Amino acid sequence: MNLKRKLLDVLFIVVLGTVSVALLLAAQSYSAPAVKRFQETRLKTNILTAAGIPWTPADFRDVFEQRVTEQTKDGAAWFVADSLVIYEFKGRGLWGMIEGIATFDSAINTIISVRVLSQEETPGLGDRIADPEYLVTYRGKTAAAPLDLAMRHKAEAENEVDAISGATLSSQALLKIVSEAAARLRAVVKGGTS
Amino acid sequence: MNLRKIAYTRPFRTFIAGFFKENAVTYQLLGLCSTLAVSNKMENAIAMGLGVVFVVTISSALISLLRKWIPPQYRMITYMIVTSTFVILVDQFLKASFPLISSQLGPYVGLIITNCIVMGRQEAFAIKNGAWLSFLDGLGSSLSYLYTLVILAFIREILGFGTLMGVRVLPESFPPWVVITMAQGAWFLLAIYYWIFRRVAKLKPVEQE
Amino acid sequence: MTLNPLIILVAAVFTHNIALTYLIGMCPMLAMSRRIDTAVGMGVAVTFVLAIIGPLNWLIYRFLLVPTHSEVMSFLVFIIVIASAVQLVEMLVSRFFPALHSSFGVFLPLITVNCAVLAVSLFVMLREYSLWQTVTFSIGTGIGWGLATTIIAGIRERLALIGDVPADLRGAGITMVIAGILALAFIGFSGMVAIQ
Repeated sequence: MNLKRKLLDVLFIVVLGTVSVALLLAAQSYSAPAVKRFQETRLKTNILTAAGIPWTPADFRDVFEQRVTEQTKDGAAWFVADSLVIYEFKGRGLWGMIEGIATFDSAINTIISVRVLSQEETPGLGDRIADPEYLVTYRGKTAAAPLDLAMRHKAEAENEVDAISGATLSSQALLKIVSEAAARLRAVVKGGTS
Repeated sequence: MNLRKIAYTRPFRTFIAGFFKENAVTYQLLGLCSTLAVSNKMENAIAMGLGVVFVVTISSALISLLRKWIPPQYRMITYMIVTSTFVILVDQFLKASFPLISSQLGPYVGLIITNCIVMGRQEAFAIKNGAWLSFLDGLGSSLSYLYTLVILAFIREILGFGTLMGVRVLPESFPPWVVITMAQGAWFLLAIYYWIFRRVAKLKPVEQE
Repeated sequence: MTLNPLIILVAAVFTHNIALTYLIGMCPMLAMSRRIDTAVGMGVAVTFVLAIIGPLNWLIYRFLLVPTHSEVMSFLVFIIVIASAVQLVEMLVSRFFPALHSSFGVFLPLITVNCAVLAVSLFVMLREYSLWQTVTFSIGTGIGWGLATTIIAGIRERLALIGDVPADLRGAGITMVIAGILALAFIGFSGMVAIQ
């Protein structure tokens, strides 16, 4: 009797676990195409906005086809629109991955803008790294040298950006990701070209 | 409808217990991690609070429906499986159908699954009561969490950012209390809230240790 | 990741203390910090369980979840592993180390709901630690959590001797104030070492 009870108990957990796993895998495959479509939309519309190209929800795909080209070299891929170079960056934040796009001039010497597409930082503090009002601090900064966080003073030099008060770690994380992305892009685009 | 009579019914008393005196945060001491982190802005507090209300009420009801079959020694595992499956399913649904909302709620999903209030109510009430009562019990406790978050956020956002719901209410010249926007500083505000709450709810003080 | 696992261990205890820097695992910290012996007992139990579960979840993630592209299940799988492992540990300890079980056994079920345990697995996944880094990170986190709880317990015991806490602030209220002061102090550690 005791053994039967124990086996039934274990069976309950096994059944519950299996049902859960099945539901989750089903949900993931159900949502996967929609997620992909959303990410594609988000990337393309942000690239167009970053390049200053007007778009509407109806025509952004066509506009993207016409005005933006993707280039690859040595395993890296970036986008070119008019005279701007746009590069996707992705890296570790405090609580999750930070993804975004950085826009450079054609010589990849200056950062024109940074846009954060997704992040999972602390609500109210770290998540301000996605705030356009904060990201203004990256405008015009150098892509030719590593960037630093300006602590205790407003960022003046071209290799300094402001930090968010109370969210130093998230600010630092974004800075590192953007800085390294810029360096990587420069190396690929400039290194070894005739 | 005779309102006074309703106050004596079991469902109402179940609801009001968690809603007032047995406040999830200051009496049951549950959901503290998220309270500190998320109550720095009204917007976040409301979003997180509503998310918790949604999850606690339905998860409690679900556990209550299953209670006759849950083996006693596997209670904890069952709560966790049911709750996390439910939350992740909702998250996947949002990702597919409302991706913008989903990306804004992204960081909260983990915070909601691990919120002790969910398991706390399941273990304390849902495992031994009917579905409707469990739903109400969850509703009371989670609403107490919501209003706690909102009250704290009201103070933290104004003093820490000078805004309320994103709208600037204090002049730019007011130096922001950055400390209070961080979880570390929120402890003090929470302690004061605890103090005031216990007074207002006329709870008996804990004995001298 | 080229971080020395020993640096991660020390950092997890002090500069990146999971309770005082990341503010995770607060509910049990408030509950278990009434007396020093309770705090130490819980700390030891948490460290012991984490030392097992951290690497275990790493192995499961690396060799089961990733190859089958089922990362969406990470949360659920980690939680099940934690609950099962704790139950298993409790059974083994009560069978083979009854003396140990009578002193620490009561804490074990409470570890299942300690968010710090789940957080370790999630951080390990996010930071892509190696197995050795996971081992030291798990142990360091356990010690760090236990240390934080013990410090608070020590202060609370002292306060109980002085006995002047306002009536409605006693218990959890004053603990919150203590935790706040300690958390603020630990901000001083930030930026010292990068373990991610």
